Amino acid sequence: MATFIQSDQKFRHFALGASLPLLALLMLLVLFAGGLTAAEKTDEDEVEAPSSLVPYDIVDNIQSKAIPKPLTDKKGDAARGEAVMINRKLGNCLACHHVDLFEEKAKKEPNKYGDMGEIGPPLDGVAERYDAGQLRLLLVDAKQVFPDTMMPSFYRVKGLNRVLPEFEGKPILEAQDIEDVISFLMTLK
Amino acid sequence: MKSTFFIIMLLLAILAALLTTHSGVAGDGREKSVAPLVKDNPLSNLWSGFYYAKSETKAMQLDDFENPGLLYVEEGAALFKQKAGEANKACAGCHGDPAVAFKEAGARYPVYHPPLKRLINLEQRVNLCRTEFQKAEKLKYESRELLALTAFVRHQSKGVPVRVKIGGEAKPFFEKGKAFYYQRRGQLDMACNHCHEGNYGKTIRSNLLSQGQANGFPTYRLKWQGLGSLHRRFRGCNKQVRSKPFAFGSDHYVNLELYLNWRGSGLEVETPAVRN
Repeated sequence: MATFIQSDQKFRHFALGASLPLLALLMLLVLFAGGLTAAEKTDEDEVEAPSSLVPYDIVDNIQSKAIPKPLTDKKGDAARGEAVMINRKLGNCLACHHVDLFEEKAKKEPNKYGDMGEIGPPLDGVAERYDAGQLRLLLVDAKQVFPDTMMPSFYRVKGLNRVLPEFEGKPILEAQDIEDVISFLMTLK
Repeated sequence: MKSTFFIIMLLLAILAALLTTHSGVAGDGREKSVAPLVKDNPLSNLWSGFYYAKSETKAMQLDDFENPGLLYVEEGAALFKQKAGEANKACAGCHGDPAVAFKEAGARYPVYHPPLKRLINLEQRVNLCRTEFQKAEKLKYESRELLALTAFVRHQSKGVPVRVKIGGEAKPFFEKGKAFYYQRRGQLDMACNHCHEGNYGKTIRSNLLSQGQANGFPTYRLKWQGLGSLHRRFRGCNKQVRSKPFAFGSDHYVNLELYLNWRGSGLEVETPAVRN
């Protein structure tokens, strides 16, 4: 558990627009003015941070729920997607998922590919089970498909509870990261 | 001739069986699961975190010369006898023989405390004794002294199965603790049950998930290089899912502590346990 995702690790810098630092500063001020102790005492419900995420449409067919349209115009980069997946501070997909393909790589680079977890389903053949649109929704917000899943919603900032200030209002992955990961996953046939 | 051979083989087999059950920690009782003492427990078998620890860690816990948590227990024993506060009283003055006085207590907390109309845990009980009877300052949560005293008291109940009261006035606090347990939190949006109810016994990265039982706290964690309270562990869990932790000793955590001890009712107190 300890190695899953450490809170004190530096989070990646996101290019979210020029007005955001100002917004963050304002939020910080409000937090101090409003009283940190009050936030400590009130329980679960938190004021939601304004969303800066790319909008998307979910298509809900009888057989499947999906986000058919890519989140970005730039085509996904599978190699970068693999890097995002294995990065413990980003996707950290291997914390829970096994990929057979990585077993060989794990022998050479155990820090990157080793210690694959047993919690989620193995990802081998995932491209045969899901199409890109379905995978997009599973990455963006898996709870729309599996309400009780443990899998984090990688591109969601609303409806979360007591998020640490340094992660407040930020998705776990950026839109392009999601597209890149999908590109990689589509190679797992 | 044939029968001699048979008898020798039989004796060898018995010897092998004996060796297996008595070698190292493999024969320790905690290697087995325990049936929950309470109905409605979502877990049908209870496993102490001991079961999920590495064999070196287990050996360290079981060896009184190796278990570093016992240093704190010794310090607690000294503090127990030491006079403190304006009243110039020692804990021993009221409680007498700790092995008798606390034989059960360590397995029964948190309890509902009528004057405060809320639950208190062992740390808070120690501090209430200090302010009420010793007329001394509270010890800071997670201070070495408070950890030592708490570990000392709970160590007196080592081997006693945990059993807590959740009825009557404790009921609403128990319910809050339960709600906390199943509440998703943090950027990773996970609740306690995701790891400790649905996935214990499986690895998350290199870590083997346990049932998240509380029976060994305060626990010596190798990662901490020291003894730590259950609330310190809660704070770590919360931060791992990128959620704001609550304060040490907060009502949220004490309620959760009661709920966890209920889930672990039947497991023996192991304080001070040693874990990764």
